[in-house]
Amino acid sequence: MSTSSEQLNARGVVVRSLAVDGPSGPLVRPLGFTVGPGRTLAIIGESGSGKSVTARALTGLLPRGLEATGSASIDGDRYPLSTGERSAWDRIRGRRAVLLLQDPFTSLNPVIRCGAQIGATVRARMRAERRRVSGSSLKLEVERRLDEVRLPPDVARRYPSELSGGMRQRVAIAAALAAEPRLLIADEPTTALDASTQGGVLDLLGDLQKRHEMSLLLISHDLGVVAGRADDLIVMRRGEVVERGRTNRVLAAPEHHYTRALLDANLSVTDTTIPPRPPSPMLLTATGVSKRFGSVTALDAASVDVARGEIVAVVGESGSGKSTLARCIAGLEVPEAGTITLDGRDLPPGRRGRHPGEMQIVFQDPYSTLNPVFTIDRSLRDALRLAGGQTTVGDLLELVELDPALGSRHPSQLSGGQRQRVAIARALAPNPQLLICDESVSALDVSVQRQILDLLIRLRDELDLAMLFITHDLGVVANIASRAIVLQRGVVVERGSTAQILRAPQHPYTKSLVQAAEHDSIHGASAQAALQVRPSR
Amino acid sequence: MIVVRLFGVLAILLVISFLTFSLVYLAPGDLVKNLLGNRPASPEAVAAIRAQYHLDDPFLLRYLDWLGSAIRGDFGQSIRLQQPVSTVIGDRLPNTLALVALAFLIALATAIPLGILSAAREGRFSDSLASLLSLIGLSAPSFAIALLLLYVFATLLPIFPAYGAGSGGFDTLWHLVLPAVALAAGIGAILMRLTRAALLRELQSDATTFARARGLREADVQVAALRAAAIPIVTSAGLVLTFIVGGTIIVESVFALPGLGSLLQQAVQFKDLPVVQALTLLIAAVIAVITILIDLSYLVLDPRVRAKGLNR
Repeated sequence: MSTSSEQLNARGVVVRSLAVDGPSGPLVRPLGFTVGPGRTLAIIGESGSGKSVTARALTGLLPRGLEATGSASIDGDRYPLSTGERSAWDRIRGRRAVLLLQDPFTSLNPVIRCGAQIGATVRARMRAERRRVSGSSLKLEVERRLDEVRLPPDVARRYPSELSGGMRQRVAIAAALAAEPRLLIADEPTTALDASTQGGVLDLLGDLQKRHEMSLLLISHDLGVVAGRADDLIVMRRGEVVERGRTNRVLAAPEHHYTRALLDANLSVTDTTIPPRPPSPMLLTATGVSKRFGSVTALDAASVDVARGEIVAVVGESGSGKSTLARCIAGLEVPEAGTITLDGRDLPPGRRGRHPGEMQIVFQDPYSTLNPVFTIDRSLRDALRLAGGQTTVGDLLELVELDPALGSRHPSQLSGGQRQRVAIARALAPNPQLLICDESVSALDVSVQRQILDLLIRLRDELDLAMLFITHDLGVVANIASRAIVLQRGVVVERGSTAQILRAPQHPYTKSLVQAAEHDSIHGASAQAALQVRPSR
Repeated sequence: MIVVRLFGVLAILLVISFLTFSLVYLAPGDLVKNLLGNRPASPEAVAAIRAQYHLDDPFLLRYLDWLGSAIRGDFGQSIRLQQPVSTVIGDRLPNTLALVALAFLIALATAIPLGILSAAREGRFSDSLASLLSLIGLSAPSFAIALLLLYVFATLLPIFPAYGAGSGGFDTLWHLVLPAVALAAGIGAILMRLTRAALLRELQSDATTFARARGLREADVQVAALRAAAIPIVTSAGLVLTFIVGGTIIVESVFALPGLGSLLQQAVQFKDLPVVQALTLLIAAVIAVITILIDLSYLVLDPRVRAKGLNR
């Protein structure tokens, strides 16, 4: 860094040689950066890149066993990152820097009203400033903070569980900003939210940052999220910075091959790669499937059909009923109404009378669906025994492009992508006619997502497999499905070919989904960015 | 919902009454011998007893007889004590109630603060010490602890009385201290481990990290974590209370306390069927009521459950 930029950043944030060591070696190699007041720096990386550890090291909230070194200064107040003293961090946390976490479902205390949680931050700030606060002025302050994140005052009396995910993250932002920090560190602030609420929360963060002249450190795995929102960008991989620069420049002309790979792996909604399938006989037909949970209608007469060798996507946000539809078809839920036929045969509701060779499900999180104490071999052998086929474990592993030597390992010894391949192999053991994928790539890093999607397409072609792909991600839809249905609150609001739905959506809800997805797509954003950058060069 | 649960409880009580009836029926021993003692008995006396207690009726008829009276609220007469069952139980109920209450209070008052301390100082000396204490409490059977307490605090240092229930009031309370401590030891150990685990989980949660990240005082952070941890702590305390009810049998026997536990033990030995039946049903009903109260406590403590409950 040049001296002039250091002077410029007397206000703002300067981080020098931040490094984090774990019990089995360094997690983050020394790195430094500056974030001016009102500026946004994004740190991009996949899981294991060290981005979240970097965020936590700045607020002294590393998990036990990790040690940070280096120093940071916020508005000229310099502090060492290595200190384990709680009192030393009291000066920093809150008034200097606040860390906003990813999951608003866990970051708020479930048994304390939202107003009281925001109020707790206000009290902490007042105490640090040696000011007293009366009950009525505290109430006013909480309402003002809620208003700032565009929530009505009555949210103060609600518990977090009574709010939607987007509203909870707004409450968390209000609670964070009540400390009036100079640096806000947002660790994947929208990853746990639906696509249509993500944009709103990110825009809100941007507005508030400008208004309070705050520095914002945005941690994300998603290049699409930072396009148009971050001024500068750092790309991290395995604890090291591989590329840094102005966001527009990095997105338009990445220098490091890893950045390029990340950009390429980002699934675009605009160019669909899947051609429509020639008509073939329908394998699965589900008609008028309805399901209620208590007084909530999860599915209202939803219909979907899949032909042999075809991949059909079921698109929807959380609460749309997309997983309920998959579970009804798989017999894991008993629908109140509707018929499900497979290969011309009526399937009875529920699991009775089902055969493993009919259909199999691959879930989102392979870590929780594979038994942690069994080796891969054992899990797959069990599946094969139930199926009674001639296939061997080695064949199955080769089918999903895994080294058969991995069979002796336990799930915890595999990467996320390898685990999902094992889950797919297990689902293929009984040689099913239909494979249901319930958000099967959502928990994976973007570069791994791409590989799993390619694998699924190859399997479809080789095995003439029919697939029902449940997802919230239009980028995934564009890259795997030839047709799709869109679910909103249990009702199918649109159906058609993928190209039709993504390029010319008819229903207002589909339009809003496509818009949100396009906004986050780097291919659209980087094209704009390139236009903005070039004249100045 | 509650009505459904109450019907469930009645069904369970019916099944339990049948099972206990069968078990006492099948158990070795002879009521006639128990009543007459070892004296040589005339055939007339034996026949008279067999007729009086319907011992020659078929098993099912005897059960239905008992059930019919029980439904009308008549639990019969204790064969051993020749008094109505309600009187026999009523006389001993206060002792057992006081014992259970005292043991529960001792367990709560020691285990929960110890669990909190242990979680707050995880990995340090006080945590290890508390863990060691709970390990001892957990692994030593209650009769062994009872005998040890008797030896140390009644024989070696005669501070507390060794047996009996005392003469009422403070004297009774004094008599109940050792039995209550013996009963509380194992149960308190379980409660301490549960408190520690529940609080540790909350202290490591995202909510705690976020609270610290906003600059909240450590004391406030821990109080908030404790509020969230209160849900599993309260419900497990309820479960522990049901263990205490069962544990009275052993402790009352060791300390010769005239309570329901020792009454049950004597009644089983004597084949005093009316008393065994009434006591097992009473204990089962108390446990069922406690579990229903635990479930209701979720409504008070957990806004998530409350919201669901209101939607139904």
